[in-house]
Parts: sequence; structure tokens; C-alpha cells
Amino acid sequence: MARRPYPQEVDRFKWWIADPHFNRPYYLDYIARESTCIFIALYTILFVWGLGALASGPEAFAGFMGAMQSGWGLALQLVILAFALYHTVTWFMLAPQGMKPLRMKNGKRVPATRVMQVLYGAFAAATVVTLLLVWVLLP
Amino acid sequence: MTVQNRQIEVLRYDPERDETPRFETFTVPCKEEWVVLDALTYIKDELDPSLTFRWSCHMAVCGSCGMQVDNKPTLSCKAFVRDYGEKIRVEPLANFPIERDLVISQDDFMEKLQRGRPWIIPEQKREVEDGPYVQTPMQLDDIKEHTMCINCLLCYAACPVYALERDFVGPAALTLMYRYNADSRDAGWDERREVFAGHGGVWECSFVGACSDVCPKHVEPATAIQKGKMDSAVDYFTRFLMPGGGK
Amino acid sequence: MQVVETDVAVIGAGGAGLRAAIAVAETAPDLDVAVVSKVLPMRSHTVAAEGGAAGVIRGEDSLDAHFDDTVSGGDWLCDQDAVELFVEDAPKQLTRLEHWGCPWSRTPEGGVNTRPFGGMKIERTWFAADKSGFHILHTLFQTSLKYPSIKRFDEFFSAELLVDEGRVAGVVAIEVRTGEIWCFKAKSVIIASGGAGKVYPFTTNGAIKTGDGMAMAYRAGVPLKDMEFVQYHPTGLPGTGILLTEGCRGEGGYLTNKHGYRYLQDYGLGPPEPSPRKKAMELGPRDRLSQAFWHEMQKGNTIDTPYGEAINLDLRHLGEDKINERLPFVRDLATSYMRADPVHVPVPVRPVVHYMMGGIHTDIDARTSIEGLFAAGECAAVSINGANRLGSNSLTELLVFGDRAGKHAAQFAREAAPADNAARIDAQAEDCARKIENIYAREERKESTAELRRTMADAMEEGCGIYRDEGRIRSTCETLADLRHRLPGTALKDKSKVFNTDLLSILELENMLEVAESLAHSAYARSESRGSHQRLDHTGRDDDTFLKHSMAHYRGDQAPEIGYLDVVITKSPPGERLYGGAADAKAQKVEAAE
Ligand SMILES: Cc1cc2nc3c(=O)[nH]c(=O)nc-3n(C[C@H](O)[C@H](O)[C@H](O)COP(=O)(O)OP(=O)(O)OC[C@H]3O[C@@H](n4cnc5c(N)ncnc54)[C@H](O)[C@@H]3O)c2cc1C
Ligand code: FES
Repeated sequence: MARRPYPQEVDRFKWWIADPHFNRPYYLDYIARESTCIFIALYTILFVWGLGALASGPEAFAGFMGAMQSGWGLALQLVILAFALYHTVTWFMLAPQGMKPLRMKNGKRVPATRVMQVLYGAFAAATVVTLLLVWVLLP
Repeated sequence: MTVQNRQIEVLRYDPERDETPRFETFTVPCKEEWVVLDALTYIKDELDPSLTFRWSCHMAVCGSCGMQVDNKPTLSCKAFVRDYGEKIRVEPLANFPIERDLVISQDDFMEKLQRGRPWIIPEQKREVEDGPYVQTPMQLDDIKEHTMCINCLLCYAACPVYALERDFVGPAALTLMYRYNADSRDAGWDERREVFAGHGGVWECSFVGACSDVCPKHVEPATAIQKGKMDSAVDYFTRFLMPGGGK
Repeated sequence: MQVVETDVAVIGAGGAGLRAAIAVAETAPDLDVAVVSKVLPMRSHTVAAEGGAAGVIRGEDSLDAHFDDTVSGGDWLCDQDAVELFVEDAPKQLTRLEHWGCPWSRTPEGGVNTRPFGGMKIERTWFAADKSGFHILHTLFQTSLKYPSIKRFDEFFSAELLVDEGRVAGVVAIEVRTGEIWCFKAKSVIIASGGAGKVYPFTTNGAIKTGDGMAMAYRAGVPLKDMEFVQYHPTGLPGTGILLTEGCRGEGGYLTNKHGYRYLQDYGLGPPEPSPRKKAMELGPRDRLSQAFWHEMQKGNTIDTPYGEAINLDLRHLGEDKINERLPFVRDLATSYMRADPVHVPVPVRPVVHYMMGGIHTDIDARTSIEGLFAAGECAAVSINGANRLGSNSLTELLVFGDRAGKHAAQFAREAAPADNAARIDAQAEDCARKIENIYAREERKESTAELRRTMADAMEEGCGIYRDEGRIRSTCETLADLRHRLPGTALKDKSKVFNTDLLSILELENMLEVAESLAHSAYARSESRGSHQRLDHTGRDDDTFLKHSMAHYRGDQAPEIGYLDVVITKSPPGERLYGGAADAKAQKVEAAE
């Protein structure tokens, strides 16, 4: 009798639940990282809505602001902020692994921790600048 | 030298007798310094000569002995029994067809490896009289970890994309292509583009990152593939957006 | 039975086999090459080589110096015409490999870097960190993929050569995953099946190194040459036999006994200096170092470990950075398998069987005595290694003689007149298939394959170890004869056709027993001490009688017949092997006299 290779297939929908024993749950992490981008998209929708309202006149914009400042509106934004932060942090963690090595003057590679530090630094700086702008510009 | 009994639970499959794979458990008196592969050779020599698995070097460099040990793709010659529990489960590498017991079919990988043209494609033919190329330690360092692949296929067993999309060229073969593309002696990007960046190429990867986690040689396939995406993007823009195709 | 017609068949896809296949494809692209290997090419044991490959490249080095080191290292048993050709071609072959993409370690300016190795006067070992063999093998394999005329048959176990009237006609192989018998009909055949370290219990060699090709050629009537010369590598890990490369000592590592004393200075290798001096102390030749270990053990100066006696390999003074750059694999191996991180503690090591200097007798064009049959690599004895191979000459040998074998096999395939022997060849192939069927048919399993293998290996260590004497060699010969007699008592517990490794282990054991027997009988007959063959009962070198190659001829069930062949000497008459301070003193004397 001859060979009869036995195929090993995975379930198209449930593969990420049956996580093998890696050092950390890569499949779950991946699903979490990718699915949180939905919240980024959601915020973009809010933002476009706001812009549209602004263009349609002060009344419409007031209505938009009202909705945003309501209890539900604030809760939604907080949730979005939390997931957006998670999404950002997970990508920061991946960044050093996904780019060509930066080199120092002596040719040595810039260590991954330094890359992360720069990313977080830039993130913090951008946040501060945004808050400052808001503080200066808001009446 | 302490000896301790362990239960080795092995997936068995003999295509001439078994309809589907089944588990069989062996009690093995394991020495303290043994690796899982030693336990398997013990079974083969003393308990059941029909147990089938591949191995050769016993020093984690030939890439023969990849298996799922406790559900993680592992080189069994570097998996120390002392790091596992009293019961150790050993299965063939995930995602590949099982030929027999712990032996999987590697045909798909071998075909993809070749398709990637993993050899130096020089700008100009170089003769022996011309002497070796000049390659600085930094140029070597750019590709170094990606040259370390032993083709053990653990990364394919860890990759959910490969599990779902059989056209995916996969971590090891793409990494090798990147390694040649990025070698200062090579000018073969155009010849490899179709396989590297086309259907089944780097863009198929969704950066789960498990391949780099299981890699026993720190080849960083996940990194190589992301870097490859960057090269491919740059290549795309220079070809279609720059006047004269970026030449 | 499946039949494949090809021009050249190559048995083995290690460094030598792949280099040969590429040579055929390059010089004769119209010829078909079938590469038959029992494992995937990248599993071949060339992959395990760590240290590097020797070839003259530095300005202050010379081909003559490489020649002299090799010939004196081999205790004048090398064929000097072969060595001349070897040292001359070495740098070219290594350069080819560089062009094919081998990631050799570099100098800051971007040239190829070299490191010192044992028994070599100047740094001439090209290295790729401490994974040189791995990189060489993968470079060759990947390069071989570009030639359409090379057709690979991976996981095909070659069982027997087809030979008719002194001329080779092909090879019979088992396709491992189906159990089917294949007949490769070829105009020329190259054997590149590697060494046979597995005849010993404690070896750096992988599971596949069972001497199959040597045994096949031997059964077909080609003599095995200089089989008694077995290299013990001085620094293997106790327990597993995993090698820590000579590169450790090339980079400056020390060997110390249990008193922390660099004992090699007591064995004509001194004086000890803090940094490595070529051809002295830790950079002496392997045979001398392994023998010194044996003496230290007799004196009670070795360290008692749970896995036997050992001495220490001390790398601590090199510092973490250098170890990580030059010896990362060594660090990984010692830390994982010995739980000793060389950055912080000395690593216990001991001599372990490493390499077969002997093998299939060939001329300098890799030809054997059978027409159309060639051999190269560790399975062959051409012979550049003589009585003791210098570290890093073997990887280069694979390239130099793999290339030559390929070229000459191609030429033979093209020029030889067709043979009219189809019927007889088919009958031979059928015979071989029947032999395998008969193994399947054996009912009663009177003997265990694993048990016979263990008995053989222990007998080899006992009688044909670092030091030998007549009585112990004789009793090893007796054990081997008995084992060959018991071999038909083995039977298969596994009757499946698919991937039957139970069957392969019986065939491999048969091959190993034949190789072991040729080795033991050659050792018995050579009543002198030379290089790695040290007889306690005949301690001196005896050039009058034994400046000759031993030739073991197969005689079926009987013990082999041992004959002799003159060594080729072109320019270096046999002299005294001197290392360390003694060599310097001699050189000074010669200079003064001139
Ligand atoms: C741990 C280690 C370290 C070493 N380090 C160095 C070093 O630093 N420098 C140096 O110069 N040398 C070194 N050596 C020696 C050198 O690596 C080997 O001598 C050399 O690689 C052998 O190459 P090969 O091509 O002859 O055989 P291998 O690489 O062993 O290949 C043999 C091939 O033959 C095939 N084969 C065997 N039997 C059969 C069969 N029955 N049917 C079909 N195919 C078969 C196998 O599948 C394989 O493909 C080292 C050796 C070891 C073990
Ligand atoms: S046996 Fe070679 S990698 Fe495990």
C-alpha cells in the first residue's frame, strides 16, 4: 500500500481561540490589536460628522457638541480613547520588529528599547502640543 | 545522574493501518539532561521500533527534528525534558500533511523555496580572478540574522496565515528571498518581485509575529517580511510614480 | 521498480555531493544529474561544521606553508601530489563560494577575515562566525537550485551500486516515503555520502553518518584506504558529544586540567603564552591534544563529571563581546546542553570521535578502481589528510575534490562508450530488491538492531580508541565478526512500506559493521604509531614498513584482506613532527645552518 498523507487543517473562524503555547498568546493579541482599529474608524466617523456639522452652520455644530458632551457621548469617547491607546501601544511594541535597523555613528544598531522611547516621546510631545493648542485656541 | 519516569504521549499515524491519527503513551525513564528527542530514540530502540521521526545532528542545526511539543512548534533535540511536566505531548508539526507518525511532508516548502530564486543574481558575472566581493561588516550585519535559517519549518507551523492560505510563500522562504534581495552582492530584485510581492508574497502576512517567537535561530522572519513590505512599497512608487520608472 | 535514466548520479547531497552536482551542471549543462540523498540536502552533516575552511589568502601566507602544515599534520601519510593540488585550488574554491553568497565573516575593510586553527602556521581559516559548515551547505544547496539539469531525489536511501565487469552502471535506492525500489541507471556515479562516525558510541557525527557509501563501494570491490585513522576531536561536550569548535582555541581559549593548569605544556607543545601562538599549546594538532588528554586521565588530573572524565575549556578571558561575535553558537550549545555559560565558567570537554581520515580509495581526480565510479568528501581518501587531518581542511576538501569529481564524472559520462549490459544490470537491481523483500519476510526477531549497534560501538571504543594494542584490537575484530554473523537474526517489527526507518536501521547497521571491520583489521595490521593511530605495543613510527596506505579489500563473510600502497611523495621527505617551542628551535637551527 502507498502513502496517504493526512492533512492538518484549521478552522477558518476559530483558529485564534485554540492558541498554541507560545511565550505569549500571539493569535489573541493579534485579533485584539487588529479589531481595536474599529474604534479608530469609529472616531474618524465622529470627526467627519463634526466637520460636516461645522460646515452646515453654528446650529448644527452646537447640536454635535451637545451630543458629544452628553453622558453617552462622553462615555463613547472614553471607550474609543481607551481602545485607540491600546491599538497605539501594540503597534509601538511591534515597531522595532518591523523596520530596518537604525544605526548609530559607530555602526551599531540602535537598540529596540531606544526606538520605543523615541516613539513614546513623540507621542507624548504630540499630545502636549495638541492640548496646548486646544487651551490657546478655545475661547 | 537522576532518572525520572515520564509519560510521552505521541501522535501515531500509519497510513497503511490507521484511518486517522491516534495517540499512544509510552513510559520512558528519562535522564536529567535528556531532550525530548532522546526520549523518542529510547522508545524506538527499546519499546517500539516502528515509531517514526526524523533527526540527525542532535545539536539544533540540521533542522530535521521539528515537532509540536506540548502544542508548541519546537526542535525536539533542544527541548529539555526537565522543562516540561510529568506528561509530555509530542505531535507532528502543525499545518503540514502527516506522512507517518511525527514525519510531515515538506514538499510544499521545498517547492516555494526554489520558486523564490534563493541564490545570488549578480549585476555582472564575476570571475574567480576578480577575487571576493568587498562587503563591509555593516553590510553583512544588515542581513546576518536572516541568513541563519535552518529550514526547520517551525515558523510555518506557527503561522496562521499559512494555515488558512496555502498559497502564502511563508516565513522562511520569504525571509530567504529578503536575505538575497538585501545582500550587497545581489541585484536580483526584479527577478524575485513576482513571488516576493505578488500573490502569496509579503503582503499576505498580517504580522502576527508568532514565527519569530518559535524560531530557534533568531532569524526574525517577521522582521524580514515587514522590511520586505517596505522595499516593495518603495519599489512600487519608484516604478509607477517616478518619471522613467525610477531608473 | 521505478527506473530513472541519467548521465551522472550523485549519492549524497552534503558539501561534496552538491559541489560535484554543480560542477557537472556548470561544465556540462546538457547532462542530467540525479542527486540521491537519504535526507534533505540541508540536513546533511556538513551543516554541523562550525570552525571554518582553510585556504591561503593573506599576503604573508603561502601555498607552501599550507602544504607543509598539511603534510606534517598528516604525519607524512598524505599523498603530496594531492596536497599540492588541494592547497592551490583551495582559495579559488572559497572565492567561488563567496561569489555564490556565503556570508563569510569580514575584516573592517570588507575583505574576507581568517582565524587561526590547530596545526596551521598562519591564520588561513575562512569562517562564517561559528557556523561555517552551515553557511557553506546552505549556500551550495541554494545555488544548486538554479541549475535545471540537477534533479534531486531527496529521502532516497541508496542501497547498492550496480557494477558490471568493472564498470559502474548506476545505483539502487529505496524511496523512503513509499518504500518503493528505484533503479538509477547512470553512466557515471559519484559517491559523496560522508563519514562513518556512528560506528563509535561517542561522536560529533549525526545519526546519518553510517558509512553507507564506503560500504557500498567496498562491497563492489573498491578498497577502503587508511581506515584505521580516526580523528578524535579534543573538545566535545561530555554526554552528548556535541562539538565545540577548534575556533574556540583559535580565538584564544585555554585547556586546563583539574588543577587549573594548562597541561599541554607537558606534552611537547609549550611554552604556554597568554595569547594564542600558532602550532603550539592549544593550537597543536588534534591527535596530539587528544592523546595528551588520555595521559592526563592516566595521571588522575582530569575532572570527574557525571558523564565521564573531562578537562576544562576556559574562554572567560575572551570576554562577552568577543564570544558573542565570534563564538555565539558555542555559547548557545554549552549553555543549553551543558548548563555552562562560557562567559562565566569553564566548560567541561573531552575527546570525541569526529572524522574518518580513511575512506574509498581514489586518485587525485576522484576516480576509484571501478570505471565511471568516483568518490569525494569525507567518504573518500584521496588522500590529503594522511594520518591526521588538520581542522578546516575538510570543508575545503569537499569543494576541491567535489568539483574535480563532478568534472571528471561529466567527462566520463560524455566520452565513455555505451555498455551492453542492460539485462545483467536489471538482474542485479532485482537481486537488491529481493534482498530487501527478504528482510521484510524474516519472521522471528532474534536480535535487536539497537542492541547489536550498541555492542559494535562499545567494541570500537574499546579496541580502536585513542590508544590501541594488539590484544584489544583482536578482541574487537572478534566481536565484529560475531555481530556480522548475528545480523541476519534481526527482523522488522515495522512492516509498513511508508517511511520505514526500522528497515533503514538494519541496512545502516550492515554498512557500519563492514566499515568497522575494515577499520579494526587495518588497525590490527599497522603495528606502528602514526598520527591518530597510536599503538601502546608499537610506540614508534616505522617508515620502513609503514610509510604506506593500508588498503582493506572486501571478502564477503570473511575478514577483509589488508594490502598496502605506496605514499606519493613529491617534495617533503618524512621528518619529525614538531610543535611549539621545539619547532621554533629547529627552524632557528636550520636558518643558522643556511
Ligand atoms: C560537528 C562537526 C564539525 C566540523 N567542523 C569542521 C570545520 O570547522 N572545518 C572543517 O574543515 N571540517 C569540519 N568538520 C568535518 C566536515 O564537516 C565533514 O567532513 C564534511 O562536512 C563532510 O561532508 P560530506 O559532503 O562528505 O558529507 P555529509 O555532509 O555528511 O553528507 C553526506 C550526504 O550523503 C548522504 N547519504 C549518506 N548515506 C546515504 C545513502 N545510503 N543513500 C543516500 N544518501 C546518503 C546524506 O544524505 C548526505 O546528504 C566537522 C565535522 C563535524 C561532525
Ligand atoms: S536533530 Fe538536527 S535540529 Fe534537531
